[in-house]
Amino acid sequence: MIRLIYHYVFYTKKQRVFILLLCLIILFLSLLIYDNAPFYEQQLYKDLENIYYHQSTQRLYLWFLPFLYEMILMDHDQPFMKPFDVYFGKDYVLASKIVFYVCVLIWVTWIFMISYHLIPYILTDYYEIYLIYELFFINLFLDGLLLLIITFLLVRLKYQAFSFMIPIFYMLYSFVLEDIQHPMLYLLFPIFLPLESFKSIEFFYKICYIFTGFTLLFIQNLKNKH
Amino acid sequence: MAPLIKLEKAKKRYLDHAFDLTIEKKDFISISGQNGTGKTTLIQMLLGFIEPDEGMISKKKLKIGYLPERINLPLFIKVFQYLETLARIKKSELDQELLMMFNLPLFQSVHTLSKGNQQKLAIVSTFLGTPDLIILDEPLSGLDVKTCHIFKDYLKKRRDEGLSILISTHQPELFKDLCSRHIIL
Repeated sequence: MIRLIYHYVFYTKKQRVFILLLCLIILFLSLLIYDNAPFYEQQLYKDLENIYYHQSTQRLYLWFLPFLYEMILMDHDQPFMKPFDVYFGKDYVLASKIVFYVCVLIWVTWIFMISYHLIPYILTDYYEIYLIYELFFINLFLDGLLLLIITFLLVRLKYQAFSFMIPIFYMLYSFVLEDIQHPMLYLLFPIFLPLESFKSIEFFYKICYIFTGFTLLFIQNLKNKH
Repeated sequence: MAPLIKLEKAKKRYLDHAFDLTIEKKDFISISGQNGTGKTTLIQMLLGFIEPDEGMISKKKLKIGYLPERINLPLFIKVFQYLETLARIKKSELDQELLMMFNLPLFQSVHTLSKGNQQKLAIVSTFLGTPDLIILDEPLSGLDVKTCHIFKDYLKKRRDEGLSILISTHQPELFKDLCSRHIIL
């Protein structure tokens, strides 16, 4: 089933758009970090350079990736699913769709993670891998799952164009969360924010939130049956 | 034996009549009528895509093979690859007889097929697997006369095997001798 969804959703033209987008982000990242300074100078400002790279690239990813995720997810409600819905049952089709999109999100996040490390490793002399930054990508992937749940709950084929409101809302919410660092806001919608104050419960809460979201999806699916 | 699907005074607000319909095992029902009389609405209610505003639907847990009015096929895949994948998912084998009868170009990509051939492919994929009921919405659109007759013979064979079939068509006379019931809306 997943293979069939793949053939429907990622047809050749769309594949090309994604590859082009990936190339663009890699090019942009290369331009952003390319440093012509000599080796000893890069070593001298190593820590500063690393902080600059991580902060600016993470900001870029935080703005760009939700839109890319949404671009992938917005096609979830397609008429081709209808014959499968009535043959296999809606729950089976929904579960297959979720597995498919989760795999795609993992794949996209992985590609961005690799380019995040590989490009500065090749192009600069100062770059060092800090394992703490891997948390950023796990968070980003979990944010992708949040977007998946919201998209599956709210976006239908008729209102596909409105789906871009979701990453815009995500961005605005992250600005608000950054300005008003209140845990209550995080509890309402747990998107990524490097807040030290409640980091220990962050993952646990977010995962519970996501599972509640998936349960809601199946309840909504159940409601549509009769 | 309990019916597969039963509609009792099922009505949508935008239609001026209610539907009463019972589909039993081995039934062959054809539906025809002018545009806008609710053929597709009736099918959508039977499939559970829309709920009636009044009346009720009772339905067994069924595997339904559904051919929509507008065909939706993955475009950038070879015909054989598509059918093979579908057969694997539906845990069945390809119906060689239907493939031979329709003479589909198996190694061509779906997007290069003509409308008629795409319709044939959609029909083959609808009959794949082990459906309890087949619902066909305008299956003849895009098919030439010869293929229509081949398709009719195939439907007759499947009906005789015990499959329940509901067909919405503008050419009801073609299926006149097959129908256990004919509904005009």
